[in-house]
Amino acid sequence: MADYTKTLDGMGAQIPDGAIETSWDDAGPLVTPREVRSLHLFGIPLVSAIKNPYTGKPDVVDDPLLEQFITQAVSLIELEAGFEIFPRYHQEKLPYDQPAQNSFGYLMLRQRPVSSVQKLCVSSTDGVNIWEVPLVWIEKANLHQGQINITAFAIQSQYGATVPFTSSGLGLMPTLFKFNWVPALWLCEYTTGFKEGRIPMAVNQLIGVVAAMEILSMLATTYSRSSSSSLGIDGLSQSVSTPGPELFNVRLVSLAEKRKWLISKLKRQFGLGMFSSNV
Amino acid sequence: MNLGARFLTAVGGVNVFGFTTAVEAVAGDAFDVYFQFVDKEQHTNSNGFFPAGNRYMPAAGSTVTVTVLNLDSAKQFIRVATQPYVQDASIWKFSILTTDPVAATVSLKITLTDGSVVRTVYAQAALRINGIGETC
Repeated sequence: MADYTKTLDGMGAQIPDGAIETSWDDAGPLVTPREVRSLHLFGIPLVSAIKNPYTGKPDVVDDPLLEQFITQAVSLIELEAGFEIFPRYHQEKLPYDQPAQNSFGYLMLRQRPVSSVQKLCVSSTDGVNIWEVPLVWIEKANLHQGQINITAFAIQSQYGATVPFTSSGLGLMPTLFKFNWVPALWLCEYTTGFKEGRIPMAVNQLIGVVAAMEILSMLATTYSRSSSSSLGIDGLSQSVSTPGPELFNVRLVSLAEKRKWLISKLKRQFGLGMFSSNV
Repeated sequence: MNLGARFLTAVGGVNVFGFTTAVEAVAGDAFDVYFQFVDKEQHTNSNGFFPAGNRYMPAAGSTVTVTVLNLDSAKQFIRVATQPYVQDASIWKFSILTTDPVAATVSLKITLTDGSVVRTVYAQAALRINGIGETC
């Protein structure tokens, strides 16, 4: 596990961005199987339409199985939407880009949403930390969206570090900073995801939606028997047709639309949305 | 033998309890966590058992420790679990105190030392702690 003795937290909550206090409970632990049943699968019996040939009874989607769908849904969302839900400690190397450095050390981290930064330093190719940026110099205003700025307004010594630009004891450093671009010069260690798995309601909704979609599409398959039959005797006939595997289509379509909407809103929240237009 | 753990709820005695996938509590409360060891290779879903897994009773003298996991190593801690009912050696319990740094979604690592054999169960999101008026 990670050491958080030196850490710089982002400003306030990640959703809504910057919120520091609330009397409205809009975040909580991971959605439970009971909540998925009542909020997303209300009234739908989670029972297979085909009997188990060994037991003679239909299989059921019980809570432990639902729990597996929930944890799988977390991974699916992280892959599809590109943001992380549960806390993860990352190590990332970033290039030194002179125009960005001249913009108060602008750096953009890849993983989102960032919850805190533990270290930012100049690191050699063999992993030696040459110079660590004091965390108090890191501007955290846009940290949740992955943006770091280095604003060394106060020249101070912290963790034995001094401003390298004027120091003569740092060898190649002043020379490297004169280049336009140096690959993987910065090393940043940071944490993403929602602290302690305290998940915003909207993200929990999305997890429930994805889990429900997986369960319904699996159950629908068990209804894939002949969906229409007819019987005719002499002049009399009767025909019956059922929705078959499309039984849950109405619910699946509505869940799919909600999934798409939630993902696009959440991506925009974490600076992952893209748009294009004609100029 | 594939060791698993199944959490208990509404525990009223050795014969009175229900099953749950996660123990729910409110932040700041002290509560006990009961769980039952199961062998996941027995009584499987495909053989019609819901929930799956046959209860597993470790040998007498076995010890169980529970690591309450957290990404922050300063907030991670270990508790020793005990057997609350001598009649059923598969049921174990440990306590969460009001001062323990548990919040939101907590995973557990349960280590059973059964004689010379050490087995580990990872219970993902086993504790769901609800706060009041919390931001994320």
